[in-house]
Amino acid sequence: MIIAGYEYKGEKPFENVYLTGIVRDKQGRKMSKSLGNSPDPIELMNKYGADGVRTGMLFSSPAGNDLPFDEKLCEQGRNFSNKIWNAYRLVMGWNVSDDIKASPGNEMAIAWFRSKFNATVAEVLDHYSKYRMSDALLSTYNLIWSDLCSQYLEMIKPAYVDGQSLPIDAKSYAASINFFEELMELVHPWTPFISEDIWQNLKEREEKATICYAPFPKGGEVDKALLGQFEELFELVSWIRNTRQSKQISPKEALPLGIKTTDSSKIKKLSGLITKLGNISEITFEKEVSGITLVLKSNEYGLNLGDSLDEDAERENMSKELEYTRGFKSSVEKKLSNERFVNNAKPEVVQREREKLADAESKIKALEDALAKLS
Amino acid sequence: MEISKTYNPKEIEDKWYQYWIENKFFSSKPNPDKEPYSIVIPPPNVTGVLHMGHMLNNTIQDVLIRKARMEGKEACWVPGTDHASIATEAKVVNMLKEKGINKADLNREEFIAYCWEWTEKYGGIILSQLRKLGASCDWDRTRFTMEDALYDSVIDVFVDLHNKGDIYRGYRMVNWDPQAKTTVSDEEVITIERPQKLVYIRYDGADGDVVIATTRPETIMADAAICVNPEDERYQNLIGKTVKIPLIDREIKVIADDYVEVEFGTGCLKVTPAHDQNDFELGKKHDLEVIDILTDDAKLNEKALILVGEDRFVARKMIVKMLDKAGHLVKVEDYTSNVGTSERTGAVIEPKISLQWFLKMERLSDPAWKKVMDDTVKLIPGKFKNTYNHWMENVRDWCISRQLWWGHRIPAFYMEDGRCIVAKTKSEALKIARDKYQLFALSEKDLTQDEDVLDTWFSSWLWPMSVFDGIRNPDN
Repeated sequence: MIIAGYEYKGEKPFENVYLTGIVRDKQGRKMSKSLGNSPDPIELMNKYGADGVRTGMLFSSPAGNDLPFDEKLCEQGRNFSNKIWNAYRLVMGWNVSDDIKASPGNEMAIAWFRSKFNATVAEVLDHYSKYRMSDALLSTYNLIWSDLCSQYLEMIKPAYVDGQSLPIDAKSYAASINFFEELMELVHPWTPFISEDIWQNLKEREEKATICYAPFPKGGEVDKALLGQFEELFELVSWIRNTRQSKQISPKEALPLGIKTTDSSKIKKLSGLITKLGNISEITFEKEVSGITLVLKSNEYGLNLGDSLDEDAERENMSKELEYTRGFKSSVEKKLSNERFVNNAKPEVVQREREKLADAESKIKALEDALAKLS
Repeated sequence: MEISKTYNPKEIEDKWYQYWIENKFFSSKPNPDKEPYSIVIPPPNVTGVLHMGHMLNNTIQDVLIRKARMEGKEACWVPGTDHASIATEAKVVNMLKEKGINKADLNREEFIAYCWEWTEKYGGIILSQLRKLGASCDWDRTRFTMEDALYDSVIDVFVDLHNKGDIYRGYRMVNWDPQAKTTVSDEEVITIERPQKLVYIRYDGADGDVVIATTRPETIMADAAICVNPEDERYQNLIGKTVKIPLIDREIKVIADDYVEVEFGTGCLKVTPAHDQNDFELGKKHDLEVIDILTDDAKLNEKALILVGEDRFVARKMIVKMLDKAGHLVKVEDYTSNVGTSERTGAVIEPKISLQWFLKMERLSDPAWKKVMDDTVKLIPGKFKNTYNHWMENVRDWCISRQLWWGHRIPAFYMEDGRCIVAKTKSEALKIARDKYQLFALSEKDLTQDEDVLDTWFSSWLWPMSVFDGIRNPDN
């Protein structure tokens, strides 16, 4: 075609030629009728939906690379459709009240998602411009699956009281609907059907309106500092949740959280979200934190488990970990005292060992302090 | 509004696809206010059904075209199918067989009528399957490589390239599928490892004997020479002398060429120009006789003198026994070698000398080669530039004729004396005959059109232009 183009038009017929790989089966064999290893696409679409198969095919298909096809990919595609659908049902099911003001936590969550959305759009556009199709899909997928469903909606959803959802304030609701609309526009090329259906129902639409001609998101300002703060928030929340789980404390039992920080104003803004996501009974700012502790950047957090904590067991756990860490430290020290290693290994490898040593030292110190507090 | 508890794709997909089509959201026309963004579908076989490869590449096309449409570009995705001459013809032949009709009993027009019937019956399937996938093609622009406008474009290009001196007729070794009775391209040949017998045969001569080893003893009757390495001390006394082919006692020369390796086998090679690609080249170099002993369905013909009418594989077994009986069989060894088979029929490919139409590739491919190498046309991912470079570096003339009926019939017309005129139509050919050869008494019935059709790719390579009728109307 390139040859004929130059012969008969004297110019290039294409700007870009995208080469796909071959779709193979799980064992890497070429699909063929005689092997009977080629699934019927129509059946797949009936089973998983066209959108599910479309995303399933593209989750792991870098240009020019063969696609080892597994029906599980289509299953994952269908789960994606279901995830979108459930999130949509959740939002559309909220009662809206004009009488409540948006909480500071909601305002923060909205500002964060706006930044996260814009940052992801920039990423997606970059992937598209380089024809990294699977990467463009995965960025979009993660934005919806993790950032929207696992984080944003958790932050913004009104509390349940007596089996009933409290109403949401009008501002947060409108912001959520707008996010949903833009997300549908971002995901539309991948999942044209479900995105059209939801897009049509989010708002009143004019006759003959279609998402096919809605503007593709262009992105916008990104507040990097805000994204960083939320990273820390998510890390804190997942630590709180993991701690509960490992100590077998019910997520329903509210716990007090102590914080040691040099800048309490930043954390105060997030305190509503910390309370909501971590089920915290009270946040106090302290000179020294107690209980189970976590160090994130320059802040220290202490989760006071009170009666729920089995002090003896905790002491034993910590002692074990202290012993292990000391052993680890001495093995690294041994390595670093070996001159042949230090002189011959790559500088970055040596550097990594030094970092390991520093980490181990600070961990030992933290464990020793915590043990001292316990007794 | 009540939202269904679970996502129900079937209902939603049908509803919205219909809405998109009713409102012609995917139609496109040139718009000076919008940046154009076009994709032409790599045309699937007209009678094919969707497979996973189609799913992958059409999803990618749809994602790109939908995004472009949302970005405000004039997005145009042209759908269509190609006539897939060999695949469709094979399916129609099978269908007829089931009905008890033999292709050989039909004339060309009757057979092509069946092909069209088949195309109309099954041709829409793959396109409707693409709709189910959600493909946002401009369906009003659907094209088919055998429709009039595209057919004419193909013929125009053949005539044009012939006039430019790029198309010629010549003898070539081709990949012959004896079951489909057609040539197949190198890409349609699948190499399979097969256990074989390596047969050692003694050829006697007045000045000494030679022993050769071959996996194809049934072709010895087509031998034109025995070849040895000029440095090989064992055979110095035989070079230039003759030996006799066993069983038929025909004398052939012993020639010397460093193509033969001293260390390999017995150091003697039987040269069979009609039935082996390398031997064909060697034969050309040494001006050897070409004796084709196989019929189109790979049976031995009368030139073989013995075993005439036997299938090649049957003959292979029989001749070993005959050689043994005649005392010319030295030994037989088990041997594994690669055998080319037809992707379509599975038949073992026969290298065959035949008169075919060729397109010279060197002049034509040069601009494309340069423009891909300097990234004017970008390949994604870039690693395929190496592959492209390799292809273009080793480009061979393209055998464009196929011994089939379903396709674009080669616009070459033969006079009774064998002279050939290339023209768009028979009447134009007649006009040329009259003007050029002053044969005023000639009439159309004195001209016979070439029976062959063109390789499907000879229409596909024009697809990005022909779908917009750009061959016939260059300014379109």
